[in-house]
Order: sequence, then C-alpha cells, then structure tokens
Amino acid sequence: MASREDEFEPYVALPRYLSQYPPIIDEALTATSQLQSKTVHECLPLLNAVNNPSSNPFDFDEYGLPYLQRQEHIDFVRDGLGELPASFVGLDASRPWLFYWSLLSLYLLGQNLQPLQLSLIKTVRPLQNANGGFGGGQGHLSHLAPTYAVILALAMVGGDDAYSLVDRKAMWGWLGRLKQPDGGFRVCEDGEEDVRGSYCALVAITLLDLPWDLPHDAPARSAGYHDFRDGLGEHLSRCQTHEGGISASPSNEAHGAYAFCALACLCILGPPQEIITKYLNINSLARWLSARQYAPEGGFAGRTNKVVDGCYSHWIGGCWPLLEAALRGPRLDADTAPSELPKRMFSTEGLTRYILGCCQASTGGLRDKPSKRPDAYHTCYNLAGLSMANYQHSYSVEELRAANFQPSTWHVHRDKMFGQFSDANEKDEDQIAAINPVYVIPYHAISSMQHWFSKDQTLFE
Amino acid sequence: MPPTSTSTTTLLPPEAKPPKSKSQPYYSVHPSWQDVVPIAQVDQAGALAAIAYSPRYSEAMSYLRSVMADTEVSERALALTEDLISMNPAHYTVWIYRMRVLRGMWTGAKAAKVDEADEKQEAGDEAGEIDEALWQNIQRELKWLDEVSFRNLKNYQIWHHRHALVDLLPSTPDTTAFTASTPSQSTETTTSDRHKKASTAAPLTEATKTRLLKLVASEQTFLAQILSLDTKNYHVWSYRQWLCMRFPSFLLPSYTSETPSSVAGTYRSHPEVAAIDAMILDDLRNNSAWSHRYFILFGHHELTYSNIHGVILKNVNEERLLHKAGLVDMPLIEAEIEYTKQEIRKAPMNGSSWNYLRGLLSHSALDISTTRDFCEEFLGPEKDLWMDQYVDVESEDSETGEKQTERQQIGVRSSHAVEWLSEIYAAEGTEEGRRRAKECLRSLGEKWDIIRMGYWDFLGEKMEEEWKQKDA
Repeated sequence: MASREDEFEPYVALPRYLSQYPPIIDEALTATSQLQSKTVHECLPLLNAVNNPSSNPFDFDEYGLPYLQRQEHIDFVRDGLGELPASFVGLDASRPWLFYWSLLSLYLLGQNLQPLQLSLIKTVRPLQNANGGFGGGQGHLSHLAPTYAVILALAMVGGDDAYSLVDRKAMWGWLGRLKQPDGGFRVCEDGEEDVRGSYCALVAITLLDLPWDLPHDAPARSAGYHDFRDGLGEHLSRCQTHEGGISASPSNEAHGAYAFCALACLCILGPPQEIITKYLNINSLARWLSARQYAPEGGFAGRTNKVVDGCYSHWIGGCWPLLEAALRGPRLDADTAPSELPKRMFSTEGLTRYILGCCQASTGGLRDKPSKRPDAYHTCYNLAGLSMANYQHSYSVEELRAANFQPSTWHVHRDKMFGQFSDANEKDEDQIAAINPVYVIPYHAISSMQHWFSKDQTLFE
Repeated sequence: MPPTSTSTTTLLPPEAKPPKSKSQPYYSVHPSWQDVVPIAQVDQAGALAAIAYSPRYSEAMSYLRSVMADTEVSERALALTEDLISMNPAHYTVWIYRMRVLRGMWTGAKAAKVDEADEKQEAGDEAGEIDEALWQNIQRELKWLDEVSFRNLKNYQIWHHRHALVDLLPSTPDTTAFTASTPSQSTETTTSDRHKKASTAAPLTEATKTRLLKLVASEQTFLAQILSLDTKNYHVWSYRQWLCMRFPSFLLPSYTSETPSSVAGTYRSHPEVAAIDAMILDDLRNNSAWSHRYFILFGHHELTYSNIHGVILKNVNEERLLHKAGLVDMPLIEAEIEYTKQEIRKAPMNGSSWNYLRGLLSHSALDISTTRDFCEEFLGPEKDLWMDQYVDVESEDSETGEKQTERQQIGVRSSHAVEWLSEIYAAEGTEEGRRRAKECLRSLGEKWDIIRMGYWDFLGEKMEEEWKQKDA
C-alpha cells in the first residue's frame, strides 16, 4: 500500500552528488564561500526541476534533463546578427567575435551557414587593414582576437570569395611584427602580450598556410629567431603556475581560458603526447583541470575558488580532449567503435546537466549561470562544451607518421551519451554537431581553407 | 565629407566641451576641428550585427579615423581619445593611439609606434635620472587614469595603458633579470651569471630612486583600493605582477641582489607581503592573493632561472635546479609551510591553500610524505576514510543519566587531505600503503568528490601501472 511518503518519491532518481549539497562544507565564512553557497542555491532548483510538481514532465528526457531548446537558441542567435541598438557600443571593438560566436552556435545547432556567406564577406571586408590583419571595426588597429574570429568565421562559410578576401602576404608581415623576443606574441602592435596572442597567431598561420619563417624585417629576428615557433614552447612553459594550470603570461594566476589557448597552441606546434609532455607538467595540469568541475552544479569554474560559469564549458571542457590526447597518445587502429572508446576524465553527465539545466534561458540563448542573462558568447561556448561532452577526438599511429600531421587531420568519434543525446535518439536534428577541439570550428572547414591557401601562390610573387 | 557646412552651421564657442548628449554633433561644429576631413564608416546596410551608433559616437569615430591616418600628435587628438574612452572604454585602438599621442607629445615625435620610438624614449635613462617633465607628465596621466579605473572596474585596456605608462620610467638595475630573454642556451648555472645579466642598466641616482620608490608606494596604495572593490580582478593582479617584475628590488621581498641569504626573519613586514597577508586575512579563499604570494616569494626565482638559463620552466623544479644552485631559502619555506598549515586548518576544503602548500613542496623539493601527519588530522580521530564530516554522537549525562545526542565533527573534513594521502600512502612502498592508497581514491570517487570519478580512476590505473613496473 502506498504510504504518504511515496507521493514525494522523485519521478526521476537524480544522482545525489548532482542534486544535493556537497558532503563536506567548511564552517569559516568568507566572501568567496558566500558567493559559492549562493551559486549552489540558485542551481539546485534547476538541477532538480524534473522533480518539481509544477514542471511539465514532457520538458525532460528520461534522465531528467531538460531538452535542448534548439529553435529558441537559433532564433536568439539570428536576432543577435541583426541590427543592434546604440547601447551595444561597448562591443564595437569586438564585433568580429559576434560573427564567430553566432556562426559557430548555428553550426552546432545544425544550421546551414552558406546563406550567411555574402553578408559576412561584406561585413568583414572593411575590417582588414592594408598593413595586415583585421581590426575590431573599420579603422581599428589590427588585433589578433578579431583576426582569429574573422578567419574562423570565413572558414565556416567557406568558398573562394571568402578565402580570397584575406591579404595573406600583409598578414604574414603583420604577424612577424607581433612575435616577441621571449617567444610569445603581442595581441597587436603596442598591445599586451599573452597566450591568447600565441594561440590566435598559430591558428592564423596554419589556416592561411603561411610560411613558418619569420619575415626578414621581423624585430624578433634580432633575438636570434627565424621561425614563428622559435621559443614559443619555452614561453608557454613559463605560463604554467604552481597550481598546475596556465596563466595569461608568466607570473599570473592559472585561468581556464588561457589554459585552453596555451594547450591548443601547443597542439598546433606538434603531437600532443610529445609537445604537451615536453613543455608542461602534465600531472599537475590534470589535477588542476579536474578540480575545475564542481558538484552539485556540474559545470566548470575558471580558477580555483571561483564559481561555475557556462563559458568554461568550452574553455575548460575544451582542454580535456587535448589533455586526453596527450595522456593517451595515438590510437593503434584506424577505427574505434564508440563502445571501445576510453573513459572520459571529467564528468560529461555533470557538464551536460549544468549546460541544459542551468544555462538555457527560456527566451533562447545560453548563459553564465541562472542569475545571468544569455548572450552570444555564453551561447557559443556552452554549446561548444556540449559538443565536447558528446564526442571524443583522437588520431591514429598512421596519421601521426604522416608528414603533415596536424590537428585538422584528427578524427572524431561519437561518445556514448545518455538521455536525449543517446544512440537511441540518433536522428540528426536531435544531435549537436562535432567540431575540431583545437580550431573550434568544423573539421571540414579547416581542411577546405588550408587546401585552398596551399594552392594560392600569391605570397612570394 | 569636406567641411562645407561651416558657412551655414553656427560653430560652437572654442571653449565648448563634448556634450553629454549622444544625439548632438560636436566635432563638426567645433572651431578647432574645421581643418579635419572626417572618414565616415562605409555603408553598413546588410552588415551582420551592425550597431546603430549614436550620432556623437559615430562622429567621433570618423574624426578618429582621420587623425589616426595622419598619425596626428596634438592636444585635440588627446581630448578626442578621452571623449571616445568615455563612450566606449573597451576600445583598444583608442587606448593605443592615446599612448602614441602621449609619447609623441612628450618626446616631440610623431605618433610613432612605441617599438620604433623605444630608443629615444626612457628619457635620461643613461644617466639613471628621470627627466623632470616626463615625471610630471606621467603623474598627471596616472591621476586621470585612477579616476577612469574606478569608474570601469571590469575594463581590460586601462591596465595595459598603465603598464605602458609606468614602463616609460627608467629601469632599476635589476629589471632585466626578468625581461631579458634570449634563445641562446646557457649551460652554466651559477648565481654570478645571473647577476651579470641582471645589471645592464645604469645605477640610479638617489633622487631618482626616491622618486621611483614613491611611485611604487602610491601604486601599492592604489592597487589596494581597486582590489578592495574587486578582489579577484585578473587584469589588476596581472598588472601588479608586472609591476613587481619591473621593480623587483622594491617589490619582491625575496629578491636577492648579491649572495642569497634567508629573508625568513623579515619578509612578513615587507609591504607587498603585508598587503597579501591582509587580503588572505580578509578572505582566505582568495586564490588571486595566494597566487601572488607564491609569485613574489618563490615563483619569480623559478621564472628568472628559466629565462636566464633557457630551461623549460617545469624542469626547474622537476630537476631541482634551484636547489642545486643554492637558491632555495629553506627557512622561508619552513615559515611558509607553518603559515599555510594554519590557514588550511581554518578551512580544510580550501583548494587555494592546499595548492599553495603543494607549490612550497615542489619549489623546495620536499617530499609530500613530510605532510602525512598533517593530512591525517583531517580524517578525524578514527582515521576512518568513510566517516561523515558530522556524526550524531549519543552520550549519557553523568549526573542525570539522561541520553542526549550531539552533532560532532569527527569524520572526514577535507577531500584534499584524502587526495594527498592517496599519494603519500602509495609512496610508502608497502602492501598496506598500496591498499590504503586505493582506498583513498575509492572514497573520493564514491563519496567525497564523486564528480571527479573519471580522474580518480585515471590516478588509480596510473598507480597500478607504476607498481607493476616496480615489482617487475
């Protein structure tokens, strides 16, 4: 006979550690612990929403996860590409980021980007400077962040008209002026130097198939460098901190976004199992990365004792495939069925619960945490994190032996997922797309762009 | 758009300042801007994420494009950058142009790129003297920047501007120890090498030294104020770390100028350490403060060594190179270990202090097993790896004989301690040690830190692998 208590039995038994307060809590109260409690407090009702009697049970899959609100997010992103009011002036120097974030979000949500090609080309053409690189707006100085965003956006829409827009000879000269005598890169002339610069520069060099040689007038030649890669690994090694994580510049605090930039940059320099192990203490790096995931929230925090934020679904989540590649090395066989894929080193379930449960705004778009508003940045990096949780990326011994081994030739495997992303629901429109973990755009977009530029002989005419 | 409208438009009075209203024109109707032909933005029709700029911002940007194209150095260009910064402080181009204008004004040059102007700058550097006018100019710009900083706490560009500004000052003789880095490989690892490289700048005169000390002290005050409003602001902390490297003998308590000697007896009264002590006292979970503490006491030695000897940073500690070179201040390490243990006892789940303790061990090549007793403190008296943090204990009142339950903290108080103990036990090399190590990892994956189960499993497999190799 049903007892009274049975009425309160949850519809879906959620894992305790993802639905209740953690097992050990310190007594000492400080600003940090108060903010942490507040964050857990705002996440718990959403993580447990499936068991709230006022929720509609059809909004959740059999694992108690709210469905990905695909159409709402698509609409949100499309709106963001329309005209923005004057109050968005603070983004004036970052508009290229909006193109990249929006296009990637649409791709991850299964949209065809081709129809955006013409308007993207028209929009970014005035941002290129005659002395190389792209600025945040017309007449803005060239800067590696908008340059990275523009190149990736062009790669995503693809096509001769998109590729031919880039003045790669001027780009090469400009990048030469950014290379520093300590091995790293400034983000722009007279700008700051940090690992973002190094990552964005290497992405530009390899996607545009630029020579690795420094231009003859590059100031870093006076430091004895001849190649864009010279001193770079050593420089990135100096950004690893006592915590094991990686900082913006030597001496700074370990931080998720910079950790991603440094790891992705190293993966362009060489095979992860050689290069990451050579330059970084991989044990302390793994420890620090692993400690970035919190329960019950399930999401990632960017630094020790900071609170979770949906954007780290990518910045930290994106570090995992790179570290996993470094720890495991190449696959022995060319094809591996999903059932044989290695176990993940972070909780894909926790991350998925945080993204779908806490970061989806009912108005469309994804957010930092429940108390924040959605925006293009958090939409993009939450979705990218969701993709990282659904796929594994690796390369085989044969590929490693190939002369042109690089991250664009890695392979992607559907991971074993649960609920709405499980094999049972293998309809394309229910899935989230796969992207390359180093370039953070689709695999085919990288190879098409590289192929096109490898045939472009204009550089040394 | 040539300034043809002047005949029909009434110009503003020359003293008119940019209006607060974003809908009124200013530059096109101001007498001092009539010789400039603004460069308008190309047609935005159909562009993605086009911003419907206010007329004022749009106009100011058109004039900026024009003066930047001419690399104009002038008071009006400076005022234009200030106006644009007030409307969009995240505009990196405006900040960089402002710095170029300032340098041009202070050296009489065109708004040249800083790299090219480098040799002419740093006025008076050869004589170890600060140029009076430059000193006053920097002070004035810093004062303006202070106000802008308080209004824009989250802004990024402000801190690079401050960096570029302070970098105009003469170097102290020790500065290059950090900034110099050549790809040449040095094989000798002596301290004298290091100081040879470190003293390429001219010695400072007493007057200059006094001024720089004054500046550094006022920077510390300013940073303390800003950080009290936003305690973990990454850009503020990064600037602070740069400042320490720029003036190491003033700001790094353990900076050794000649023969290394311990600073264990004095370092807590050093202003930079005292500032960090205060921040940790306020919030012992402030990881930025712990991170800075590590850098100013130990990290800078590792970085300097890596720079000067061309060694990959991780190898400095892994190969105990500082230790071998006699550059580890052991009394300081011991004092810091004690300090950190006290902090950990106050909040045993605080990842910042545990990470710091690990840093101390790594820097000094001390074995993790030296902390075994300390870690076991957090298991409670039973040393039971599975006991809940709080347990209801039943007792009988000795006088009345009444039964009462009391919630006592006798279980596990720190998952970090369990993690450390897994390593400590594993290293003991006994069967019992191995069993306990595995038990630690199992309790982490099943009870204390379940979300990281994948990582605990990975550590467990790695451990088994190492044992297999050892036993073979």
